[in-house]
Amino acid sequence: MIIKAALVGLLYWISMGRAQYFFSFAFRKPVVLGVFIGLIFGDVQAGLLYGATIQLMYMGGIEAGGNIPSDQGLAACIAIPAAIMGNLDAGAAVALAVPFGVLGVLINNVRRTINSFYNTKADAYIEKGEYDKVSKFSFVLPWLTNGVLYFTPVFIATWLGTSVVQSFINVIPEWLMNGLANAGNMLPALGFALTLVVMGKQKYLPFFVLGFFLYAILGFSMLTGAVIALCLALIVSLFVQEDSQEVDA
Amino acid sequence: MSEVKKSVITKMDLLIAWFKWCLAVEVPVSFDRMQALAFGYSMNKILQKLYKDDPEELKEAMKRHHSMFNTNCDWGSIIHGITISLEEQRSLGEDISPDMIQSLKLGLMGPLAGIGDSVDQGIVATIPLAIFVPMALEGSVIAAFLPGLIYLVWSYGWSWFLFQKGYTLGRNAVLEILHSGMIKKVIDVASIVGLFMIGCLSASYVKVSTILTYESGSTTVALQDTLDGILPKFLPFCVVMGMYLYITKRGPKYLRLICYTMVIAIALTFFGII
Repeated sequence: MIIKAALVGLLYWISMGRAQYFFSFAFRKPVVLGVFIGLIFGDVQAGLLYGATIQLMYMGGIEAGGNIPSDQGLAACIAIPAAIMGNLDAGAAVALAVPFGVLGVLINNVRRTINSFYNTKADAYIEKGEYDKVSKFSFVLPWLTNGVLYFTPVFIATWLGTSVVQSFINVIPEWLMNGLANAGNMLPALGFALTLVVMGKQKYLPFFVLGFFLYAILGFSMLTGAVIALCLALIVSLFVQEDSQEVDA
Repeated sequence: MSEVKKSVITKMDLLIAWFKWCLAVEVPVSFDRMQALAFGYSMNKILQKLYKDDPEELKEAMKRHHSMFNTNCDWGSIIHGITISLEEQRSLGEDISPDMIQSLKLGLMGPLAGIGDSVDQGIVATIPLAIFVPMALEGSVIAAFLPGLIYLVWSYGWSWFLFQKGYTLGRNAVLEILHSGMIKKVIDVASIVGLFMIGCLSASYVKVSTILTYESGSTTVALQDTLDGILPKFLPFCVVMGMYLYITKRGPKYLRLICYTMVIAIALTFFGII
């Protein structure tokens, strides 16, 4: 058990420690973590199912300016092992994931506060002219600090394991479980709202509304949606170009 | 402009600097200086090579590249390329002031973060997820990995391309990339595709429905059926737009917004409304 807990802790460090940002960004998706956690606990299909279900909550996982709206890595690394061991249904796994997603944001804030200290250390070594030492404070030390911050909570939670999580779930009244599950169904909205804000252009907002209600009524596959969207965009760009030429002239 | 560019920096130096940037970018992020240390980490060896005969200049350069910096780590790579090219020319005695380098860095990081975050995270990371996660739900392990692979190929490829482009084109790169009609058109098309898809995704994944009923004559009618008759998925639409308005009006207070959502969802469930 202790080895399994350590492995899950390691997975979380890889996913949120952010060394090789692109890789960790792709790795920290619950649907990916689910496969690996499933591998650790000897049930890939179960891990995949829980992971994919939790993933639905974080479809629009945008991180504008390094602010994570919710920590999907922590949500996955706490909820999936507990769900596999306790044989929970997917809804309960989501209800468990929601509060931990929030907790992960706090870890990120602690991390960024600690890193300020490395800024001042780096400044001191620049002043002394020891530039090779500066590099240590730029990557290795913050990365190891991440390791402690990210590995520990997941390791402990997985190690204490099912009994604690199970009794926790037994104690929670049903309305609270359902409430958390409902919150889990509403929370994807945050990711999408955030994406709308980051995409910026308010004049294009009608395309969001169009996509929303077309899908609500017709319910086509996402690939079909992408094709429709691309055609719309190309048609619109014909007009946009002509407009801007008029303005320039 | 210089006709024949003398070159001290090799392709290998560039590759290492790019790799270090990708490796470190979000690791030493802090509240006060954001990605400053990661930028410095990427520049460190390059600056030592360029200014090896001039300790004073080297110290100044180190200071300026360990100052506040924050951008999208994929699209922002072009800034590194440009910075290296400018620092190289400066070290070779060309008339390029530190202020010019700094203002280029600071001026570019914002717009590139905006474009980069919306294209990379809004489109390249999100749309494949939307297509493949339903397959993963049905038990396909390959579908679980495909969205990540697509994202990786795109971001490593594009950032290395921009990094080199920034170096070879130097300061003109900025104008060329940002003001060319082509890129503007591509971004416009991408924005529309993205927004339309976010609409589809919202309608698909945000789920709120009421379980309230009311008496109509002698029959009991579910309020949700009435709502669906008027405008399908009206409640999820309100939730997304509500959050959108909250973020635009109150700023990026995600944690508070999530807590509100949880409290409201639990309260509504408790009172038997949803």
